Amino acid sequence: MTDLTDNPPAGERKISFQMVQTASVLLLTMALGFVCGIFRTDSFLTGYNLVENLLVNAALMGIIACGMTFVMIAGGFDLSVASTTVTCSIVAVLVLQAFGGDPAVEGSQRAMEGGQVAWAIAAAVGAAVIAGALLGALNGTLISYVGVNPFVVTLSTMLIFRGLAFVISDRGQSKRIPFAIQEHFRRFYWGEMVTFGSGRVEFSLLVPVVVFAVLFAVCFYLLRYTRFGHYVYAVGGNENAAWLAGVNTKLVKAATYVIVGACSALAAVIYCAQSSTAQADTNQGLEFQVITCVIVGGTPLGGGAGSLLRTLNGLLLLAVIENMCTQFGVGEEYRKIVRGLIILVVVTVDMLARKGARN
Amino acid sequence: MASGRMAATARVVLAAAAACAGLACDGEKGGAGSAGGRKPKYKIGFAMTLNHPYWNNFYSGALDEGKRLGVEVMITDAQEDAGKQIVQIKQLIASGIDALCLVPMKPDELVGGVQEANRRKIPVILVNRHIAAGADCRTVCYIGTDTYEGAVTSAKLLCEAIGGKGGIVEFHQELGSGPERLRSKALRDVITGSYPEVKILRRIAHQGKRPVVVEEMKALLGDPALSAQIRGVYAHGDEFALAAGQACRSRQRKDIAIVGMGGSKEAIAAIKAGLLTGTSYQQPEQEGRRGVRRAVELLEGKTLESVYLIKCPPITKDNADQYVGQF
Repeated sequence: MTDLTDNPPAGERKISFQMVQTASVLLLTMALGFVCGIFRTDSFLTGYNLVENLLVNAALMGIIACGMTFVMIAGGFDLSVASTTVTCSIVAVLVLQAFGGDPAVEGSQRAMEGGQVAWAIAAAVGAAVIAGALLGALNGTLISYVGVNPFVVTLSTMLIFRGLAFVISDRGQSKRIPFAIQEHFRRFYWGEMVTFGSGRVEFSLLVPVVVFAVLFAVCFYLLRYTRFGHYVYAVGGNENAAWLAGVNTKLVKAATYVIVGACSALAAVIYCAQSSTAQADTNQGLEFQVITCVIVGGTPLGGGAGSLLRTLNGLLLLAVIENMCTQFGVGEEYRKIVRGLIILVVVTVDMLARKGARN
Repeated sequence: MASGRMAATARVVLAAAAACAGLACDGEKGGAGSAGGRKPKYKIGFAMTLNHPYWNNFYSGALDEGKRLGVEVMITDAQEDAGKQIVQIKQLIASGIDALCLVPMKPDELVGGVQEANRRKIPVILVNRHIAAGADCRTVCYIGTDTYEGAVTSAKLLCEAIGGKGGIVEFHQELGSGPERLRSKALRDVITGSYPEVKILRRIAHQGKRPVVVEEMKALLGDPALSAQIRGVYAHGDEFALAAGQACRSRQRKDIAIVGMGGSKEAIAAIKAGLLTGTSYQQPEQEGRRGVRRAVELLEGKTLESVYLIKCPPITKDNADQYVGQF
């Protein structure tokens, strides 16, 4: 493992480095927030903007970024997460339609009672997560056991899964959640857990934020306090050394892809709830946004280092920048430039730093 | 270790520089326009898409009207992605808009977005596209091209041009989008109502790409049995009618009548040159402009009507000289 590793718990020197890095990204996030707070006080510093808008957007991306962190620490890469997400969202809606009928077909919808709705939702979420895990397992098998380059495998499956999504949705038709289930299912995105404050500071804690918080805690525990988590770092740091030490490196690597697949499926459920539909051509470019979060946070390409806290940092930084762009009316074309510049700068600096360290 | 610390610091400094550089790029085309220097009276959100020249013209109209009326217009580009537009609506609400002009990417999917605006007490004006009929949400009014009537105009032009009988090919937009539904319905209504001997041989999604239409049209014309039956082409959009026209010309099939919809500069020139049979004339610049104007009127306390339609007259070789395309 390189000296960038902050897990397992390291000595004073490493903690000090970790603190510098984590604090610096946090400071930048706060500085940008401060600028926004000064120039856009009325609209930026509101409960609605910070919690219901900024945090919810970050949470949706963060759910996939949690899985991506595992893959990248293990030295991998996954370009197929957006395609996995749309495929799983269509699977979820097709399962719901199997219970409640297809709203696009006249007379096919059925009335449903509370218990049936709950079963349908549980089946849809379960089917989506299983589908996501299977798609991830396919990536993992090809990369770990067959030995194909992760970039090539996930670039191919990005196209294959997107195509699959078009096939199972009748050439890209918008698949709607049955009306009897819609009102319940949409709570995965719009549902308010609890409302705080009043007036400008009033905000509701929405379900995506809670789902992300729980998933983050589980993943954090897995990565930091379990043997599997340590193996993930070991595989990313030096696969041969890990293998010689008795780690089943192939299984560990494959498992990280299963995790990101399942996380993508969980995000898919929330995306479905957002618009009460699933469609094959949505979430284009999501994979790059997720990878940006992880890299900007400080998990390097090549693996062996990084942590979920760093991903959270990257996530918040990018969410603040996105929010800032909206607050200042920056158009989509310039946002693309901002995102691209951030990735380019961060990866270049990482590469130069590693080169410097070697010399 | 020192290089590691340097890397961390450099990462932060450069990411900040990158972010600031991006923000510094903000200009007129960046999405927000307001009366120069003065504090704008109102802030109006315009949630739309910018993936076609039609929308760029629409965008210019909205921004220009905002400047003229002294209001700030914040424009977002959803790139036809309904989920993305819902997020953008929330962002616009969070940035403190007084009214929302919305071009819904999909009629059913955007109901949640309109409900969110309703919950935050932001009035919603629909422009160019409709929200699902009977949806549990409130909108103030609809402003826009009469898409259905425009498509009926194009469909009638085509059916008349082929003598009321024969096979046609339809190049349609993304399945399920509002305009696709209306334009497909218009063609079927015209055929069922007045030209029952016209038969739709193929329905092909143009995917918003001219090369797709050229390839598909060439493939259709390459099939001798099918090619002999094709008398006309009904394209959802002038660009795609032009692409079909080029494919027909490459196969020496000047007998195939081709109609589009939109009335772009290029299409009007092609009608004059005889490549296209006709089109229906849309005015995107006016749609953007009127959306902002009605929003300001609403915020100033005026009562609006529920529908403001902009007509789409036919353009053929006979009257093409009278029109100048808006995009």
